[in-house]
Amino acid sequence: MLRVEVAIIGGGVTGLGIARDLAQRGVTVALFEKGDLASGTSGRAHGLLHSGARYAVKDPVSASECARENRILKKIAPHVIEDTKGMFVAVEESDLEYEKSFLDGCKRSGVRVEELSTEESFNREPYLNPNLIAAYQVDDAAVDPFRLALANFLDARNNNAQIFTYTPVRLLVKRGEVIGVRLVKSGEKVQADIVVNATGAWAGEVCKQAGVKLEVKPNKGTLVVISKRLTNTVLNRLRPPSDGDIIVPHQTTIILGTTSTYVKSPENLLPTKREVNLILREGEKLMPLVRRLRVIRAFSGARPLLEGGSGREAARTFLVIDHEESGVEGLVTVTGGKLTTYRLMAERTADLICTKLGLRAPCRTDKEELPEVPIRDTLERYESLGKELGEEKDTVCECEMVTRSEIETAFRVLAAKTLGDVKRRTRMGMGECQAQMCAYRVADLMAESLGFKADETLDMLGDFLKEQWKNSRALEGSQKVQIEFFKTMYRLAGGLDE
Amino acid sequence: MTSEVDAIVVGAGVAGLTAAKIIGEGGFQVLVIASGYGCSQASSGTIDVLGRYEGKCVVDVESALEKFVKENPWHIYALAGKKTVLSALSDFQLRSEGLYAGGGGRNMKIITPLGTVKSTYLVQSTMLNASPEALAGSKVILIAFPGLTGYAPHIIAGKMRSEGIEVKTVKLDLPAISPFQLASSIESSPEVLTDKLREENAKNYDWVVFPPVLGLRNVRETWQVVEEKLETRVVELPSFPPSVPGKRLYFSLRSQCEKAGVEIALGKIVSKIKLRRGRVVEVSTGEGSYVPSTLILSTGWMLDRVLKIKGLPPRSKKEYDIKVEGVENLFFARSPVSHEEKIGLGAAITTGWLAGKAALDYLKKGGN
Repeated sequence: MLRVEVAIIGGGVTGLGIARDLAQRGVTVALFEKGDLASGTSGRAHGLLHSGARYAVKDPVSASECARENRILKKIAPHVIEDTKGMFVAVEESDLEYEKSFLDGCKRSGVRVEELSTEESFNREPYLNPNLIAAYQVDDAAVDPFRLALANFLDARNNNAQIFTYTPVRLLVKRGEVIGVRLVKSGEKVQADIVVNATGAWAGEVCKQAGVKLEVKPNKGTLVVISKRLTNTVLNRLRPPSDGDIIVPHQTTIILGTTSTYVKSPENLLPTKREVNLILREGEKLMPLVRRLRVIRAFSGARPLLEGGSGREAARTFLVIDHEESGVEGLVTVTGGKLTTYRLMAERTADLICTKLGLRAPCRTDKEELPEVPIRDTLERYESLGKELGEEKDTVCECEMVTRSEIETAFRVLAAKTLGDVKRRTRMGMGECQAQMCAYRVADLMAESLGFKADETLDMLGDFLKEQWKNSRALEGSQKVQIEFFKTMYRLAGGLDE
Repeated sequence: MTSEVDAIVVGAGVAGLTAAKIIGEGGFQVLVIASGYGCSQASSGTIDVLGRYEGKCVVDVESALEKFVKENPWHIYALAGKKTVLSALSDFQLRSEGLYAGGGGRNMKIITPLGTVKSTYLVQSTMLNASPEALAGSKVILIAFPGLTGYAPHIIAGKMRSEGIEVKTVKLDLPAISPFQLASSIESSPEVLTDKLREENAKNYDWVVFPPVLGLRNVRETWQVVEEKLETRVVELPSFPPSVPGKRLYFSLRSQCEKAGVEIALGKIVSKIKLRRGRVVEVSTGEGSYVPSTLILSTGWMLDRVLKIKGLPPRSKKEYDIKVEGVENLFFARSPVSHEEKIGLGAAITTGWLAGKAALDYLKKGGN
């Protein structure tokens, strides 16, 4: 039986951040994730490293947390962040009503803001709405949530944390006390002094297993990906937070979002046509060209919101709860928060755990740089174009220029187990064809050199494509036709469903 | 500039070219207008008529079709009738001059580009033995070309092994910028391929299994030369699009059309179709207008640009009737694809045949 000091449930950035933090402090840690790393809320994020400006008016605590973490992450994880800067732009007269409270709020929360002239704004972002009235620069940036998760994973593992993906667990409760976790598939038990519930939007469900009531409301947010990088700056609408008011550049794409709807369960969230159209309609006000370009993907994630009235009103701050205070020993929950504040959430959680374990080890995650992920991102691949001749023969995903060796690294070094895992680690399939042209090539490579059996790879290919097709139901136009075509290719020509 | 013509076919896919050929062979002037090559090469080149029905693989196509047409009266197969479907297909096979094999009212099995097995009606003759049954118990070399995509050689090898076939996978380092380029270079000098295989002693194996790259236009000749040089039997597997077999199919239909005197104008987009008193009276492209006696629209299911024809009632997606109420010289050749029932080019050939025959009848009756 495995015995650790701390068992963490949840392999999103928060769980991985806690694993990294505790492992650095010398605590023995095992992390259990029911799917893949960053396959829940983390991997469905906007990829926006907040400056805090978005929350400056209504949620000053969040705003100053974001502002501080923004600076720390740019220092410790420069290789997973593109320091794009952000802009808040007013495009309608009514936007100006928000201007004063916005500036006051930023000042109060320590969020840096700088006014931009119209000329400067257009020089920087020529596709901005020509009716632009006012623009401010903030310290927003683009962060790759997958690579952020992987960097934390690598550092945690380098410090001897054990990380298990595709390993759902349940709390092991003895006389009201949480004593570890039980692996659902094998029935195996893992003993732990403390179990950390880092499952975000799923936190309420995990608490229930120990008889603890925790109100976390899953809040659905939908995002839309356009295949052309129209902006190099994060664009925000200068108005109170609402649907479709942010555009984030991400590698060769832009991601538009988002929406906010409370949902019963954080599982299996799919974007709707209505949400996609709403986002495009609002996005168009920031950049009119977005309506004329191809939407290659839409996806939905679940925010773990804590309290408050509507989804937009609810605070983006986080909570670290020691359930001992309500009589359940051995269980700590961390939930709420933002991708931007994941490190701070991990720090606070690890601080509490160290106190409970009687350890005096300071947090170092704000100073020590995260390790590099041994796979290039697409911008780096573009930079090396032409320098490495002959590489095209080894290119498996042509849209994102992912090579054979990168896919092998995903499996051998970064613990990929499925095609979806490869996608999250390499960007395979995140481009215009949405993996339709390369999925079978990756599957073939898995059968060739990665030890997978033919039937196993075909099952995985089928599951992966079904997931891709499911998400594309809300799309229209040429992307929809393209997906129909490839469905026919796989099913009629490839006999995949037999 | 306006010119008169007996028939215009819009679209150069399998259905459009089939219709054009039939009208041309009937002695009328035909002009095919298409924006591109058509979607033949976007298929894997096998002729899928009805591969699955009621959850089972179809073997006896004739009896499955009989049931199918009763239950799907809207379908092109029902509109054509079982007999016409089968005769359109045997005519297609006959005129392919040996490119296609199989048929005879029965499906056969073929190994797909993913190594699964599906039922299909006609395959290119180089693929006649590309089934687990034909290869069972034998020793084969399976060829992979680094850089050539369109099939999954290692999955195929794994599936073959589980069927009791002894497989050796051999990588052949031939430049494969595209499958078409590879096929045409093998066609012009097959020894480049067979020399590379010399060390493998192919004659000690029962079969050498290739992706479909043994020639583009002279497939049978290329195939035979490769068999002679390797001193063993050679078989091709189908591949994903863009596929060489699909391109071969296009070349075959195109040359049949040219023999029938059909003129083919690619790279043209129809901008307007004018109706007057229940007749199509003018078809315009950017470069000029035509006055056709009949018009066949065969714009496919995939990249179908919806032509707005003023005065024409909108057609639903499931409407495959070749005629439209109230316009006497307009015919549609749009065919349904079904991945459930594995219906592909079989429907395209049937639709083209049906629309072509109907237009021909109309022209013969002196409709102008």
